[in-house]
Amino acid sequence: MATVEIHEFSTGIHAEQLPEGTWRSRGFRVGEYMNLTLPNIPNGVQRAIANKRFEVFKDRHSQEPSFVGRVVPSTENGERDWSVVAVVTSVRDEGGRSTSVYRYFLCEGRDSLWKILAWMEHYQQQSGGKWPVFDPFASKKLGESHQWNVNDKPKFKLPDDWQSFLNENYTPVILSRGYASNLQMINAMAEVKANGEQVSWAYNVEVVERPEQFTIIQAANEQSYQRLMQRRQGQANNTRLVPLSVDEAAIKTAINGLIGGSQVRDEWIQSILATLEKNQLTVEQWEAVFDDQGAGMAILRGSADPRMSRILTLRAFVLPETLPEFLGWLKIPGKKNKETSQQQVSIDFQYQLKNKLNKFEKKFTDGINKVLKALIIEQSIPATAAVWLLTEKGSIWAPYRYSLMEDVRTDLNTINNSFSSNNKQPEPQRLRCEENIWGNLCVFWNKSSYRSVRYKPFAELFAQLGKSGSINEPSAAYELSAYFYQVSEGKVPTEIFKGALPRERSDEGTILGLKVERKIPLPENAGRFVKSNAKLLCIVIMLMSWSGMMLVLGYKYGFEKGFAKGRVQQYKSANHQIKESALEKFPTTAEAIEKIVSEMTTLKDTGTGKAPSREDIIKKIQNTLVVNNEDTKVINYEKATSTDWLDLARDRLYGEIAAAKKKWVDAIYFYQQRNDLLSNSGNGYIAHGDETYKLLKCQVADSLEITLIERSPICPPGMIQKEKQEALEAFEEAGKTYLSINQLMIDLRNELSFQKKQEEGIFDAIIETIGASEVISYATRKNRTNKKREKLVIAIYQYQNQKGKLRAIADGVIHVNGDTYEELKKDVRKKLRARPNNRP
Amino acid sequence: MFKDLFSQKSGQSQDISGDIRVVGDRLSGKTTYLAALARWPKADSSSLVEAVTASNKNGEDLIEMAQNILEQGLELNPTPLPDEVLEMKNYGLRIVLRKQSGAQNAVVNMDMICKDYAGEFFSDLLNQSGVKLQEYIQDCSLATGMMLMIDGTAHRQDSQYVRGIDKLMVALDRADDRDRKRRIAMVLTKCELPDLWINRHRPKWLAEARFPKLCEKLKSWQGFGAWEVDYFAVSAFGVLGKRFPRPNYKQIARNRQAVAAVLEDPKIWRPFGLVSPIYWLCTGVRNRELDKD
Repeated sequence: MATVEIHEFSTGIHAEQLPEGTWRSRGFRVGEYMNLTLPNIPNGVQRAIANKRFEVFKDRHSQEPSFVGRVVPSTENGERDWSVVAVVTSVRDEGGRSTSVYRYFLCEGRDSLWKILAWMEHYQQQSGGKWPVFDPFASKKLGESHQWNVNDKPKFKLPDDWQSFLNENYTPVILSRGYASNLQMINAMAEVKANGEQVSWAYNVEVVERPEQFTIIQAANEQSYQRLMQRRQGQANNTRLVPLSVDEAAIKTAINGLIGGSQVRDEWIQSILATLEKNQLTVEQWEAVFDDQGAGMAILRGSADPRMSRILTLRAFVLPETLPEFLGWLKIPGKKNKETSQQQVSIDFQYQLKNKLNKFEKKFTDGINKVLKALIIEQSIPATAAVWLLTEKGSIWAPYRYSLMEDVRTDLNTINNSFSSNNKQPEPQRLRCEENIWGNLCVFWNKSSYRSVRYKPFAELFAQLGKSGSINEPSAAYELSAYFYQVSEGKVPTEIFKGALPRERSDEGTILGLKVERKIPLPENAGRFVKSNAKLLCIVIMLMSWSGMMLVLGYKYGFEKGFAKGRVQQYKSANHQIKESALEKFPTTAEAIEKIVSEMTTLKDTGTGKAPSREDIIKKIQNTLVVNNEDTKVINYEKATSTDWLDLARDRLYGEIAAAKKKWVDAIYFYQQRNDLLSNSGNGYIAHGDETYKLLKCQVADSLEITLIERSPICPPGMIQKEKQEALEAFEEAGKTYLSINQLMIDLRNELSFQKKQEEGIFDAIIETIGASEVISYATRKNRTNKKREKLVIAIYQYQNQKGKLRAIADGVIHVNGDTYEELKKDVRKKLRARPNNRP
Repeated sequence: MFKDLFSQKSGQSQDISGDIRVVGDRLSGKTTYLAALARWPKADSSSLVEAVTASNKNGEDLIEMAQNILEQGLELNPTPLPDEVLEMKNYGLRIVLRKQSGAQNAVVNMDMICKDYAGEFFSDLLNQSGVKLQEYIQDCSLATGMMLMIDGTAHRQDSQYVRGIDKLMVALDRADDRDRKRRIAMVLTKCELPDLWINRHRPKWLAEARFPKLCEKLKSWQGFGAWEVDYFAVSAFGVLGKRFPRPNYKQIARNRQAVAAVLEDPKIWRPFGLVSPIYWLCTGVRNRELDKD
């Protein structure tokens, strides 16, 4: 026989004794426990409590306690493992509000739960059937632990069918009430199920927030059994949940502290870095942690809240793939404009983080790589954003500008060497930046007449790096800038050229194997020309005045061309070979476009009954093909297909038609790439009935508000971006979508006299009617991510479109008591009534 | 994407934000106030408040909880004050207001983070006890504004509140090294009660009549230049009837000692004045439209 020590402590409250011998709470004691028998609560136990490992919900009207047993491993060196049993009861306060209070019993060692239970059973026998529940007046002093003599551990032989029951069920095993007749029994079952891992169980509980944190849970009644089963089901495949081995509470505390605006504390940073270092969370789980604090919402609809600036900054460090999204969110204005308050808050915050994150260099370089991709491939952020990131004083990314320049320079060298030695593009593994960043550059190396405006953002970025004064050797930055000006524009502005090649006396030079040419400004050019061609000039002037008219025309044309060129800055060029063959197929494209036009004009717009004009349709097609509406002016269908003799004549002179065709090919190619068409390898042309044709037709129909009778499966639901954005913003608003669904559930419950516990069935029936069962259910409804919201919005939109009378108001939103709401109510009511035996 | 977002937002909406702490005695109606705000009824189209939405997980939970509390009579738990101040819930809400002037669809987005301090904080202040009091004060000092919730019927506590608020202000003054002006909104709750309801449109007068000492103290702090103070009357439940108003709640017994209130008629629920103190705390300007019925 051995003696063990059982310690205890309880939730701290202020208690008030009432006349009839009872008591009530007068509030919590903040941050304090009471009736402690040991001086300090072991750290592991404290963390387990902070992570809600003992939190259970019980029926407040029931006097019967709930129990939680758990082995808590040590978290610090030198600390021991503990076994802890919590006895949970409800108390009321003077306002009649009830809350759960906990009395914890703890005993050293992993295999001590049974010892505590044996003591508790003994206590119960001694005190006429009462459990040792929370009692503020049973004051305990330090050192007054319970001494308890234990024999050998009693063996609980579980019947065979229990064994097989446990084997068949996955953790957490949910038991209906009465399955385990006592605490020793559930503990023994949990030990079998845990199979050497830490044991944890909850006995007679209503609900627990995260069932998977227990080995076995016994429900308090039938209703809670059902609820626990649903909850387990709902969370079984939820990959966003933070694993139980991680101190989630500490991470949340850290994030809350960091974004709150106070002085940054080292322990917060440590807690984030330790989690990163041990690789404890997946990208998805990190995202969930940040979304809980509002990061996803802030991206969705913008926010002036400084906390959001800080959380997105932090997220961009932890999850480098979100750095471009963060830069986009900052809406960084051009250099002449004042910086936004969001920028200011972010920089102040970064300043505080400075030098504390150095160990995670890869996070920064990865982030910068993502920014490069966003600049060149996705073109989703402007160069000014990258300039800000890399030059702003205080930016935690700025120190990595040197390694960025080094990487780019090395890659350009590799490309040069590869092409000059065997005229081949280098193998991807030899490049430092992501390979596809250099895709178009390699095309450029293949054919030097080719220009790729795609690299213009690099030209601007490195020019700004050179100008910023933040680089030790500005000429290195200017060199890269000059390189990319040459690639994107064919000439290099004088200032950049001189910065890159200060000793170069001629107007040409070589950078990393590339011949660069200085763009000679007009006055200088004119001066040179006058100097060397004085005589010739006289004759020219005479000729010009003779054909003054021609001069005016010529000037006008030149101006327009230059103007257009400015606009084309963002314009993207397609791979050269593809372009050539697509140009040959241009007549096929034109045929396809005509086909779309004729189909659209024969279909009647359901709303107005008026067919759109040919001009409208062509305009919409052009709008759909390009990213920015501004680019529409650049792709001119009428010009590209013109057969007018005057145009043909001009084409011979200026190549206008050919140029227009090329622009079309380019636009189609990038449209195909953007939309992942043709297995993501664009061909630059459209043929009647092919993928590109189908998608373009749907999208044009959508923008013309024409409802197609047959919608190809390739088409996205016909919701334009703006509509979707608006529906998403409305999603969580009062009286709209999500809360409407809740309201509908309650309405139907009252109307059909269902019970509260049947709400789940009603909720799921609503979702099923909308056609979004795969997206969300009652059990998973709290886990609403932006992606899920989007899917639900689209499903609602489609539901509205299926209903003739809702089509006109289809907006992807359910307004409380609105038309969609009423229609949905009818449908769900029908559905619920159709299954009399199987009511929700 | 970048461009689209930019052009969509600019010129149409104005974004403002606030970091608010809700402070008040136990049972003064703090959580009920927040629940009513979150469950904002869009009663009529003339209302300046377009919508109230959640901007983080706690906000979503609040909105969900609000529906249960106000309409189904589910009991409200007292807000636990966690051991760590940073474990406290941050309710992130966005209040969308229609702009009174300007373009048709112009809106004001008010993003606010609200921390609902448990009443125990206030009692700890009064007694200068509680091991975490200092941390809470530190946290409070980060806020842009503070909502001091006072149960309109608790006028007997006037002297006690003076002591509490005085201690809080002294502590805040010490905790914050930045020299800036802070706003404190004194908010009288439970104004659906007849005595309070008839005077809801003169909150300052009402506050001074019921809590003369507290108002005196606030004024003297305002005089030092460290604080801006304004007074508000709110009602989470609102009233039924125009000429003979009575509170729009029914009491349901919880146990022998206490009762709980739920909305009697959720369909014609018109809370009063909920957004006005928040607008003032965020902007420093009182919006009279928000003080209207």
